[in-house]
Amino acid sequence: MAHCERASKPLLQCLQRTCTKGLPSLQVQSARTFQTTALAREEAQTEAKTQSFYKSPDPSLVSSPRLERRMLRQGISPIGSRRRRAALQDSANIPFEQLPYQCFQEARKVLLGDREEKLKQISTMSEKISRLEAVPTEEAGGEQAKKSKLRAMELHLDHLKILADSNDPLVKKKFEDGQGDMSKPIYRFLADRKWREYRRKILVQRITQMNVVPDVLPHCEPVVDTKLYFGRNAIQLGEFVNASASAMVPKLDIQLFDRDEKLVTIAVVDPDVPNVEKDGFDYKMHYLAVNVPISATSTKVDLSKLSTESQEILPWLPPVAQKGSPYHRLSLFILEQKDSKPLDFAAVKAKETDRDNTLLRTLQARYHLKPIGAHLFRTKWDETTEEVMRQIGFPEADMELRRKRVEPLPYKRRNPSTFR
Amino acid sequence: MRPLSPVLASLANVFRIPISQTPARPMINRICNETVKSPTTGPVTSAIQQSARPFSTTNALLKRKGGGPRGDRRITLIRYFLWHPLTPRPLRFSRTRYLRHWTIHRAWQLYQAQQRREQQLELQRQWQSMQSACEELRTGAGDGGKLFRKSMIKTGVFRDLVPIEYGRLQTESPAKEGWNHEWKRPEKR
Amino acid sequence: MLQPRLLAPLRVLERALVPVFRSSQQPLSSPSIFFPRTLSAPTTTSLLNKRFPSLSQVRYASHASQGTANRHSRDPAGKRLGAKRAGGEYVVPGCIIFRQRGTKWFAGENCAMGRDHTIYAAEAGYVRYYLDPEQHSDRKYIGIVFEKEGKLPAPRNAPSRRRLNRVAVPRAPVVPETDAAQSDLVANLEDGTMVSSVEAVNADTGAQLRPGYMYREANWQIGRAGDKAGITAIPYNRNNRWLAWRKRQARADRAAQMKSLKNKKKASKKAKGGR
Repeated sequence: MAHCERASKPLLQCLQRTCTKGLPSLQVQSARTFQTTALAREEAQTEAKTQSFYKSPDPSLVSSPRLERRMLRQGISPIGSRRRRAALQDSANIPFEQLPYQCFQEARKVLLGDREEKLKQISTMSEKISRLEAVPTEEAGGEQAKKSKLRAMELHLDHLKILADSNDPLVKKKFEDGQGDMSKPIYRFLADRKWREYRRKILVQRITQMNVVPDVLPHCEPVVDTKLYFGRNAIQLGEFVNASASAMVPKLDIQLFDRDEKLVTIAVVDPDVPNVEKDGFDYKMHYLAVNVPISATSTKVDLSKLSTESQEILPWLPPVAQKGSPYHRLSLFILEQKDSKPLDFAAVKAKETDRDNTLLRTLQARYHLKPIGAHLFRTKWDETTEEVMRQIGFPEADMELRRKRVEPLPYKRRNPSTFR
Repeated sequence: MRPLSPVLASLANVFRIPISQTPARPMINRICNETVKSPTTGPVTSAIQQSARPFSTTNALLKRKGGGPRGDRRITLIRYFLWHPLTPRPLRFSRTRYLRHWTIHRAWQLYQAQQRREQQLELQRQWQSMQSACEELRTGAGDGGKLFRKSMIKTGVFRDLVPIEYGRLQTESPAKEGWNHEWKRPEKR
Repeated sequence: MLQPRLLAPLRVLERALVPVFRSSQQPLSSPSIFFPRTLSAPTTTSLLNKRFPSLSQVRYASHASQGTANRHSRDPAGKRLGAKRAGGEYVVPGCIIFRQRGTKWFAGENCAMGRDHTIYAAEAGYVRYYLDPEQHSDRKYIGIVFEKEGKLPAPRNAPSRRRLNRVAVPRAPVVPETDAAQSDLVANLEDGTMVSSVEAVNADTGAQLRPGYMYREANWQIGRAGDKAGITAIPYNRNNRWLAWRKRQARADRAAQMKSLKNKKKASKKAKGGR
């Protein structure tokens, strides 16, 4: 197969060249090709003029095992399956929108017509909004009425924007490939829907079943997708993390699904610090930072890289669990600051110095914070804990917790003499 | 049993391997055992491979009389029937083909939604024009709304004016029994 | 089929029914034809069955309404279910609070439910019987509070009240596991000498009189012989389909052989039975 393919390749290329030349519309449209491989193929063809295919084989087109091996030796791995590459070699290079299937083309016509209509509606809606904004408040029927009207119209406009793009197969493909542009409403909408379908449900379940929500904060209605990394390892919700792994400062990936930028406070709280004297549990704040800007496009937050002058109030304290203590839940909360206004860093820093007796509830009430995201991991005693304890100078490093003996109830005779 | 491919058959001939007829549907308990065993032996063998591979590759638990951990019987059965050679394979599209399919599906749904909306709007228009006509009759006829009130009395509408059998929704397809030629207007009492 | 004494009530029934039939069934006019005296009992009942199907389901007095002689022998003993601790009583962990069949009560705070739905205490405290409409609209719960005046259910958003129930002691260093040779027959003394009997050590490993009247090693040791000798198996290559095919064929052949043997045995047995 390889031989005849090799032999027929120049001929095929010639034929394809003439084909594409014969259809000018194709050439014009090929600027927006559907498959990246097809693009690469075109480039390869232009290269083929100058260099022979054997000298520099294209990883997306090579199909003979000998050439593949040679490429692998060079350190380039071929793309896709051999069957696919062989099929790509002699496929007509037609962009996705122009694939010659009648039903598909009719369907595209319907969708494009609908999109035109939606675009028209969008322009009229935005005109309406600008007109209403120009009208003075007294004529519009009071400030409240005008505000609510504007709000409703903007919501409708956002909805229209999503509707205009939701039927585009290319948008769908891009989103599925993870190349969606989060500054556009349609991709934000799709990402939000996907998050709510699975990950958010898991999050809510974990934080309620592990009692994080009544223990640390009274309510939490997460609206942002949060991922936590120690080094390069993503931590699943509620996973047990080794003490040595959690000794390094975590990184966050906070995906916002709103358009506007937000300033948030990030706090990591451990509600399970054993207190032997009290015969109960204490809280401990492992991390606190304020005025962290997040938006839909800039999602990465490295907790070690936040500035100590304006953001980080309490630096990261590696969580350790004493031997014998029940597992510690390390809950991370992302709290939105009111109206996205920055807090006064110096005042907060002066006030919040104590890690042990700072409740997140108090902070929430004091600075008017609203929880918008959460994450959770757990720690317990393991082999590396001792080392970490020594590094951070944990006070009760050489102590261990043992179960307290329960005093049995005094024996009560089941049939005393009065029964007989 | 499917006939062997000629290559395999010739190879079997060369190596003197008798070709016997295997049953078309393998015995179910055999399949169960295989499906149960295969996931458990996999990690074990791979773990051993990292160190020195021992003589026996069978898990000690599996070798015992009770057998290894048995999975859920229902899941085993589902897997068995889902991947049986007589079960049709799932419909699989390539990426582009799936996208084309999706496009057509979305267009069809959009078209239907548009049609529904048009019908709804048409009904709404009819109802509103009828209502405005009634309103006009009530206020603009100049008889104090007497005509309107008369027209709103519905007694005997179907009995006296239109036969009740015709007072049905107009349908696109004919009725099952066709035209009833024997029908006569019922006698007025 | 029926006992003669059973027929007596039937006859009474016939007599009662005859006028009814006479009035309703004109074609079958003559009662003498309809109910001849000589008619045997089974035919009568079958006729009755046809007309009144429900009548045949009647249970006659001979069995059921005799009254049971030993009713109390079928009445099982009481299972001593119910509350073992009243509300407000002090309990310690593991103390059984309620025995029940099914979940009449559910385990609330600091309580747990056992295998037979028994509610028992998981913490030391005072028992409370309560309803928690926010959690479930119609479940009754049993919980434990730490203070004598404590209240349940706790507010939904309040942090949960827990107890540590642990004491801090100096951590014991981890002792590495001693050798496997240490057993109840083999012991290491403090001064470094090892005390054991040769037989005791050989008992596990050496050849012994085993079932089948032969001196041999234990089965598990025979199984490990390959391991001891350091024999390694060729790793199974999934991609070697030729080997896989041969193996599969061999297995199928063996299965077929066994099946045929089995059938032969069966057939011969059958032949024997026939003779």
